[in-house]
Amino acid sequence: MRGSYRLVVGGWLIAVLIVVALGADRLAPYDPGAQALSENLAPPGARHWLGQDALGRDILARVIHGARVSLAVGIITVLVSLAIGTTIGALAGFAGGWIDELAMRAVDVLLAFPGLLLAIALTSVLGPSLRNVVIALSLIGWTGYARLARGEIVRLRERELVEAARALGVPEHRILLRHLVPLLATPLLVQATFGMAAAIVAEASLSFLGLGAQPPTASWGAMLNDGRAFALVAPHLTIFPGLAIMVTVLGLNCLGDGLRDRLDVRAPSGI
Amino acid sequence: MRAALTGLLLCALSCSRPAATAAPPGTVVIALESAPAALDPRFTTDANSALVADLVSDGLTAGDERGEPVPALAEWQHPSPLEWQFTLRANVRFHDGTPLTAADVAATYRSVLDPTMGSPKREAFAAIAAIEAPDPLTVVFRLREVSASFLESTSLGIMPAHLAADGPIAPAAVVGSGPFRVAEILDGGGVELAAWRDAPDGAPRLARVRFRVVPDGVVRALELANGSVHLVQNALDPDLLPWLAARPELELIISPGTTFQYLGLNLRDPRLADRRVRTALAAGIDRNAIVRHVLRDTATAATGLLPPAHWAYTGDVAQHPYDPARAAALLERAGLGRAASAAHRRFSYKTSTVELRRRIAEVFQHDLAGLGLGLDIRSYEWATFYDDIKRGNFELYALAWVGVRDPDIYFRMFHSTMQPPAGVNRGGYASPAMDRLVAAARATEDRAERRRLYAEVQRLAAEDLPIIPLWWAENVVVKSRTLRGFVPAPNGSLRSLATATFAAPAPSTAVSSARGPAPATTAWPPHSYFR
Repeated sequence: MRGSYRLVVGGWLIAVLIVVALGADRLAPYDPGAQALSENLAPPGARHWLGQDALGRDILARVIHGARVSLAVGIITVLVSLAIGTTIGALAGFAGGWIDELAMRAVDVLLAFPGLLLAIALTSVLGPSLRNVVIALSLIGWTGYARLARGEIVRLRERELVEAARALGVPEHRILLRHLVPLLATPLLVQATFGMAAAIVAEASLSFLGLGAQPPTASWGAMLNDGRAFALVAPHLTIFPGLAIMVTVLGLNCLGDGLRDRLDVRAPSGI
Repeated sequence: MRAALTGLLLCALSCSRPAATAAPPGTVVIALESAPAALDPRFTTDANSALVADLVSDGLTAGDERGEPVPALAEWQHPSPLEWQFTLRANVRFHDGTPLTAADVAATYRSVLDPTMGSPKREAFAAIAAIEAPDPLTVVFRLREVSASFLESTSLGIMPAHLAADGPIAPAAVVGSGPFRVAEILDGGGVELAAWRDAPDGAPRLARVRFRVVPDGVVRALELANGSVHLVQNALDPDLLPWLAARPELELIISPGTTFQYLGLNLRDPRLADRRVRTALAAGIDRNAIVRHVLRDTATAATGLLPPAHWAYTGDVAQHPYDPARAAALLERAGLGRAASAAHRRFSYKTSTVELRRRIAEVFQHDLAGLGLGLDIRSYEWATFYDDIKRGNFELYALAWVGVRDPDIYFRMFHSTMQPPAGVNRGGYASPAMDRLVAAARATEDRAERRRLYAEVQRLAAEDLPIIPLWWAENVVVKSRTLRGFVPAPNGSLRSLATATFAAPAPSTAVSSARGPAPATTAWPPHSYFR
């Protein structure tokens, strides 16, 4: 069956991530913020499976709690972006004319900037925090969904089902909401899977730069940054959060690829 | 795995290093965390600027390892309390070949005193009423009032009169009479100095000194390891020191320093105006654990600003050892117990983006969380951070005083009239008793009386806690074994490079971590520097 292998691998990885994130408080062997300065930089061992960081905190506990941050940022960013992007894209595609022009030029302007640089600029202005990371990523992320939604609506609005609905006297807004928007679900779902992977990497990048999660919140990106200074003497500080990011993004991409193949959606354009 | 990773990083570093950065023979390469902002000695206010400018310009006097003034460009006489007479060394030349005369000295000092020049060092010379140059080798300073700290402040670097008339001199154009002259400004803010053949104490044996800006601590360590950098001072993560010391081609030297790290408080905040809260913060932070495990014993818990080797130091002051129970009780009495609202128990803490500083901030956050206090850590780029501190835009912050010599700094730090921009009383501390003590201590030249008054100042500061002393950092130098004759100075000065030389690599021996007595040092500017 097409894409089933990727779908299964991606699905399992993300399912595990969700379980880990939701059960972080029970699964983590230690408090992620508890410091044991006298044991700092301890390598992986029986008591601390992934070792301890520069302040003696348990790396496994921090990786587990970091999953919660990554997942929360990924899901919220995608939901907000999806809501904004779909609304604007669907309206633009359905209304056409100057509304379409205005919306698509706004999308072009935003896409002209490199996404991460724009996010850095926005979080610098808004101030470093996870909430502001979500705001910045959502302000940038909706464009991909808007383009996709608009393209699909333009393609669908001349279909017979729309003409039939019009002939029956169904109001325009009802045609859009009842008949067209539900048809967007499949391509948008695939797009959202990839968007979530991008959001998680962006959050890690911003936290790495000190613009995202603030101490003592455990975030994979911040853990990478904290461990960078010890790459020579304690590489386990960076290896494990790095692996966590890699596996999560791999899982989401596999899931997205699998869904796309299974649902026969054309490759999405842009993030 | 660790060895493979190190090998990979070293290989990547070697492959990526552009050929232009390879140093020619006889050039010592020093890695700095950040670029020196200025080399004009009248305008150097940050540690790296002072470090480089110190090699380029000589002052009338210099400071020894205890901060005591010693002759540099001049011998002095003090015929009356309001008169200082300096006799210049003969045949001293500037880097442009012109002779250094009394006129140059007078022009340099007058330019600092000129309000339109905007020199940050003007306040240190406020007591000067007149400067006279009766002959080419004699300078007379007449003071309007007794200034106990005047002699210490005469280590200001001297510039040629024709340059001194202008505002801040661009780094490439700075001319002094020190052992090295400015040869080139490098890409990325670095500086290359060349040996000055007519230096007063003889030409240095090193042909050149190249200061390269390497912002990343790991890269600084790797560059030391692969030989592209020869010396790094006080800019290495303590956790990397064992790794560096284990390399036979490198030498780790730990010696006493004068850097004082402290926790600054904004006393305009009603919560921090309460001495019980300040005392609770002091007793609620486990400084010894930080010194031991985070700083790896490269510092000593401090009792106050002046280090134990200083002539005015006293250790007979109130101590605030780590005592969470006492801290919690004090907070309870001050209305900041756990019953208070979360917002009332939350403080913001500003620090730089230096990784070690942020890590220390997280330890503070953890310790204070145990007392029910929240700490929002805000780390900023140096310029933004320092600007906020100077403007009083903070609740808590951590900074360091580097190269403290003259205890008159207490006047600028703690006198109620010395709030910025006049001085550095950034927390807005006001105490009539402290005002009387610091004013009296600067108005007498009697060393015994000054020592007594400054002991009182230190006792009052330890009780009132306008700032919370953290630790005195030691000087930590990692250098190539081929660089011989370099002796770290307590104030961080690199002046011993003037007599250092390169030699063939020594046979590999057990790595030594020298923790000896304070070595002699030479000139260092009179002010204190931040890092």
